[in-house]
Amino acid sequence: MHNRTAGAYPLALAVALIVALSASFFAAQEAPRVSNGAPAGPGGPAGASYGDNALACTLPTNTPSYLSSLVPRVVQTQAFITATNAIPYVFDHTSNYSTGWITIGGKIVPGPLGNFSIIGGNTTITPPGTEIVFLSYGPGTSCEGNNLNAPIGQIVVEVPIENGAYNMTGIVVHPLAPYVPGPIPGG
Amino acid sequence: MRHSKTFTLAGCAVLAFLLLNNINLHSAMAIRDDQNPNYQISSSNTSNDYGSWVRWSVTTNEAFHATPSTTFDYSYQMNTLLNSCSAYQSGCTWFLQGIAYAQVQSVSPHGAYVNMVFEEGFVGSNSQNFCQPVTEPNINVNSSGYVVLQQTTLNASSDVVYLVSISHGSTNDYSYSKLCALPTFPYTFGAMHYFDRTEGVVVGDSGLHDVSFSPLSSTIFSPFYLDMVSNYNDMSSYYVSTGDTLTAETSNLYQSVGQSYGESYGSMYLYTQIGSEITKTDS
Repeated sequence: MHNRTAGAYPLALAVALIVALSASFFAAQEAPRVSNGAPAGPGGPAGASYGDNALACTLPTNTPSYLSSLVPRVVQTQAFITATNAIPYVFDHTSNYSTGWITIGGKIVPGPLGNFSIIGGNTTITPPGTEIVFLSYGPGTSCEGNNLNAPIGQIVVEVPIENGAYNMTGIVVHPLAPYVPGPIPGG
Repeated sequence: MRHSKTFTLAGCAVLAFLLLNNINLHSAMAIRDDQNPNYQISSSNTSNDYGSWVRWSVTTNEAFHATPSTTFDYSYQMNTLLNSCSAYQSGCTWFLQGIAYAQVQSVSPHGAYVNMVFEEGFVGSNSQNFCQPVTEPNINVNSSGYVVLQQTTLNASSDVVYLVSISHGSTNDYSYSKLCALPTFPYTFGAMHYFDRTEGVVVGDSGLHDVSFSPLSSTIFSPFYLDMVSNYNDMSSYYVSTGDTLTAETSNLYQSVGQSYGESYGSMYLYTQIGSEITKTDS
């Protein structure tokens, strides 16, 4: 495919400028690249332990230090404890994200190239952070998980980064059904 | 009034842009009742194509007919193969999946409260989800005319911009966008370079759901949207006829067997539209 070179299309640039000026957001805008690092902050020891609901687990020895510190703190928060409903959950995986936005309400205005803008509404800029996913395989959940059985529950935790540090009071906990990948393309 | 003039000006400029300039975008179209892989065109890209995106949207034609006894789990999936992976089983170890779950929160005599939950997934031997919104939409989409849109932009070799939107008419109900790195621990995934192929899939879990979908535009061949379009006017009959079939692949780039359940599948293909070079057309 060809690269989209804005410089080769001055009118396109002008259009993009007009649309950008008349809209709150341009749907396909690109954000700066996500940093893989989390706050440098105090790192816990590799292989740190954590536990919830009578489960005591040790993170893998190659766990990044910021996770070794963060995971035990997350499972001690009231929001997480409430979400578990007294069922043990084990750490599964993590990823980092950058600043985002959420808009409630407003009007959608179609733009060029199938993009759209949102005029008005109530927009919230969301801070960067780290997402941590915990899974439960039921009351018999072990620290290693259970490869024989599918998980029965999932808790996704968003830990925001503010002023260069994790803001534990701002965490958001999503108790969800387990993620179930869809049909395999070509399957 | 001033705003109106601005938009009029913007509209004229957009029109001029469309008429006078080459349009170069990565998109996908639907071919009605055609699953033949020969009609599916792979991306011609063989190098980094950061900034490209795939978008998929679905409009509900009617309310979900959920009841307290219904095991309700409906999801809309946008599966995208990356790099030179022509098919999952042919050497590809993972693919990208934007997924929207429709979930019943409550059921009352007045009907079910159905909301959506969004996330990206990186699917392979160790499937992992990521890029949840910080705040979930709390909107009852149990009605006709709701548009659920997902868009994934390939930002760099290890991160994507995930955008979702719930709207009806021109009203935005909820939209969010976030730049997310692929899951980094404990599993890692290979670098992403370019989108190869994509598909839109609707998945139900019990075969009892009764809902139908329609394309966003009056013509299914919208040149500017990756619309997932249904070949079925009424998906309920599809489910009734197929019993415990779990999956309705209403538009699919990859399904090599097109009529497994007595219905024809649609297809989507990636194409590049640059004025004189439209690599695939259909009527």
